[in-house]
Amino acid sequence: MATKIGIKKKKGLKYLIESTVWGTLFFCSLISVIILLLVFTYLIGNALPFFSKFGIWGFLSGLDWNPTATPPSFGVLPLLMGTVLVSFVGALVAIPIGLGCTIYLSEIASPRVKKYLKPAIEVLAGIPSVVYGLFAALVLSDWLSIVFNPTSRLNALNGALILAIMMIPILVSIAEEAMNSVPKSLKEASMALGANRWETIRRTIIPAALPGIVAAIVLSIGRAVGETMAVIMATGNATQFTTNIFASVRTMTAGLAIDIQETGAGSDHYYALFAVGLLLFAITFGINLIADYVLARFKEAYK
Amino acid sequence: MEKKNMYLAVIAVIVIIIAAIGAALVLNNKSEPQEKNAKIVLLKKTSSSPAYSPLDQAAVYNGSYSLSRYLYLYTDGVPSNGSSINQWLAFILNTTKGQAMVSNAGFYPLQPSDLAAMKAQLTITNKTGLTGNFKEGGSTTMAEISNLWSQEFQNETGKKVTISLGGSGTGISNFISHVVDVAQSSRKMTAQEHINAAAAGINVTEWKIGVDGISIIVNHDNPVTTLTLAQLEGIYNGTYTNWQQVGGNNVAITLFGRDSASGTYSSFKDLVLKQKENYSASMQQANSNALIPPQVEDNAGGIGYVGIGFAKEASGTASQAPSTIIATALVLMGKQ
Amino acid sequence: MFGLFRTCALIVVLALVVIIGYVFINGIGKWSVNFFTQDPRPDLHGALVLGGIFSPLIGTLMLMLLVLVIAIPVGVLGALFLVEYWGSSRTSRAWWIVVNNLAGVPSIVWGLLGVALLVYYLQFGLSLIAAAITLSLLVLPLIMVATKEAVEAVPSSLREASISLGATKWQTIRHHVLPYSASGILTGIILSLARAGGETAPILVTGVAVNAGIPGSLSDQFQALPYYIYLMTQTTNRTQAYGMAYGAALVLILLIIGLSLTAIILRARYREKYRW
Repeated sequence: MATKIGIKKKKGLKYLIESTVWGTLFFCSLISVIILLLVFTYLIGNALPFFSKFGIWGFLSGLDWNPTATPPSFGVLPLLMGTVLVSFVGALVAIPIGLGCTIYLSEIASPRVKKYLKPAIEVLAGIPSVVYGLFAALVLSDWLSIVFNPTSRLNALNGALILAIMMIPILVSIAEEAMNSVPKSLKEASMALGANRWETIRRTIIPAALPGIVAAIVLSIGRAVGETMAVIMATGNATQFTTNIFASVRTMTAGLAIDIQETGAGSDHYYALFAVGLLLFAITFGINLIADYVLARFKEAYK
Repeated sequence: MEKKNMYLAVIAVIVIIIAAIGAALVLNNKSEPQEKNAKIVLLKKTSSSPAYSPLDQAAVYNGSYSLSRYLYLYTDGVPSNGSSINQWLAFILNTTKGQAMVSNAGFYPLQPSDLAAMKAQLTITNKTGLTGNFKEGGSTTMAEISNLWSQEFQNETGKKVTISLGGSGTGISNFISHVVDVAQSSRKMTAQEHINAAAAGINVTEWKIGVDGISIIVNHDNPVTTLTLAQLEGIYNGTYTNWQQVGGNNVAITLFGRDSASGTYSSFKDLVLKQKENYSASMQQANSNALIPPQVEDNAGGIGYVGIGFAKEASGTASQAPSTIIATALVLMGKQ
Repeated sequence: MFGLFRTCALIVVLALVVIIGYVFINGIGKWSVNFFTQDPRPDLHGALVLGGIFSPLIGTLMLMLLVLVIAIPVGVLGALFLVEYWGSSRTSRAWWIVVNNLAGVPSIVWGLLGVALLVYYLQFGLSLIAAAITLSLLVLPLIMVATKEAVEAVPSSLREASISLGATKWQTIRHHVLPYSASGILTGIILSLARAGGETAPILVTGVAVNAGIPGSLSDQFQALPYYIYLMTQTTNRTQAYGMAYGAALVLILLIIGLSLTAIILRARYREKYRW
């Protein structure tokens, strides 16, 4: 085994050091592999008792999330709808603004402005989610109630808007990298053929960077779906199934955070939470796989 | 060239912060309107009964106020004399210490008969207690009471009682799993929880430590001052959706309550939702008692249920001075 | 047309300015010596709004230190092994896709796992160690990916030259690969610590307590800045509480942004220095 990997089979101190290092590193990598595989086994293993007792279809299509009622109902649709509502509306706001900012940053801004704007956006990405939640709960909800006068001060729109602010930095940084990777030759060729700057951007650069832009959008939605604290503090956490953005909703992440603490190991409610966790995991994993695939094809195209 | 990047990045952040100050100064110029206090609603059993307020201590004690309840602690057996938990319980059942703090937080101390019974229970020790620090957790109704207790207890004995929240259900569940040593709960343990605890080898011992009247609060501009229990039930199970239906203005009802881990959630459900045993799905579920009053104050059609301590603070009727020995004695003698 | 894009960028900057501005304005007034040196204390009615943020601040720093000790060796050394000794194959590519995607798992799912595995199954209970291990699990994929990218950026020609001159594998790594990838790895470590320090959901369910002081042992409960901020939105005496929340938020933001900026500067600096 050691010779295959390139350690020279010499006698003496050198060999000892090599093998020790190899052993240590191997051990660490084994730990990391085991830990990360543990995630899958734990999630699936603990969700199975729930599915075998209550059925996958009832879980995925049930309109009532009330685990402490008698009899308990474990329909995940209200939580799923809550997640979809805040993420989708958030994306509707974040995508245009984010893309506009990206185009400005990569094509229009002067190098001096770029030097200030890029760190500013990275700073925005670094603000912890509980601070965003604080802002949404105390300030943004007030502003929204002045403008829209909703029936409920904490609502899906409040959550969606704060999520949009959190999505934009990721969107901008990935999309900007994509637009920067477009070879200069393409831009120069377009200009040489007589196109002005806007036409070059619209017809050449954006289509060329499209896979990267799509990946950016997808990954930022992934961030929105996985966000917990900001939405808990912003949306009111009612368990109703609704499509009204001015009503209070609860996302899957908030549902987990609220319910985890009260469930003892081994109860139905406990396994139900793993089912929700598994669904959440599957959604974010799927989102990341899509982005990976899109980016891989993009890298192929421009090797 | 690298140093320049570093400086520019730092300068960028400084410029942003200075701009932030400027912008926030402009935005902050709009003076915030003073939040109007919430109002406590009187409750009557039927439309022909007299109406009682949770601020009426006698009514809460004798049950005329419909939503009275005890506040509890749960331990594993009665710990031996001198052990930490025994000291803790002795502190809590002391009228000038623990019970006075129950009043400071806005709740009601135990009546003399209950207090005597609890003190008697403390003398029949049946378990070797731990010494040193321990963990307590559960009810958010009792959050502020236990903050006061643990602070003073540490000053007196040097022992640290770590409090975590999450609701009575969380505290009881953690207590059964041996994750916390004492559960603070605003509801009684259910039969199923007793079974689970016994299976975990726990000798469940219940301690009453105070009295609460779950208070119904509404928005300041709501003209409704009294509700019958039937109306309250209709409001919270979703039958009524507009204040007009219970004698108020034409404003949609916005429901606020606790989440399912909460003892207040369960107590209210048991006391009020008799027929259709479920809350309306549109009820916004707050993570703790203290989150409900701000919501009720900010929503014109808001209604919420909270422990009396929180209702007093929300309606501006909280006492401004700590209760003294004399005042407590007066309360216990029935004079106020 | 370009004005439209300029407006978009302006909106983004405005959002940043407004949020940080609000936190700054409302929070800076609470800063004082007492604010940084006192533990949270209850007021007359029991609201934990007096005193300061000493124990939450120390708690957050202790968490970050523990994550440093637990996750970094396993993550950095493990990724180093996987890149250098495993090489490229279909299995290894699949493995890295898995790791990359685990980095995107929501933090509350890690919290769920932490509760199930650490609090209940391994019986650590609600404790500092349970929270620290949960956070370490959360950042492990991030560190591994950062290490992998830093190490892979070193051109193979360097390695081949070293081996052909008679150096062993470990000597090559130690003297040629690691120095060049050190800054990338360091950046990854710093960003992971910043991420761990700002997380609330995982620590909420694995061991944070309302009135904890400085933890005396790994099995004690603890306080932390993100939880303190969350707690300050759910207490009576709101005027005082909200001010404390903003003050603590300002500290947390500066801590995390300070770490992120350090990482960014490091990355920019070394990118300039080591151009192949």
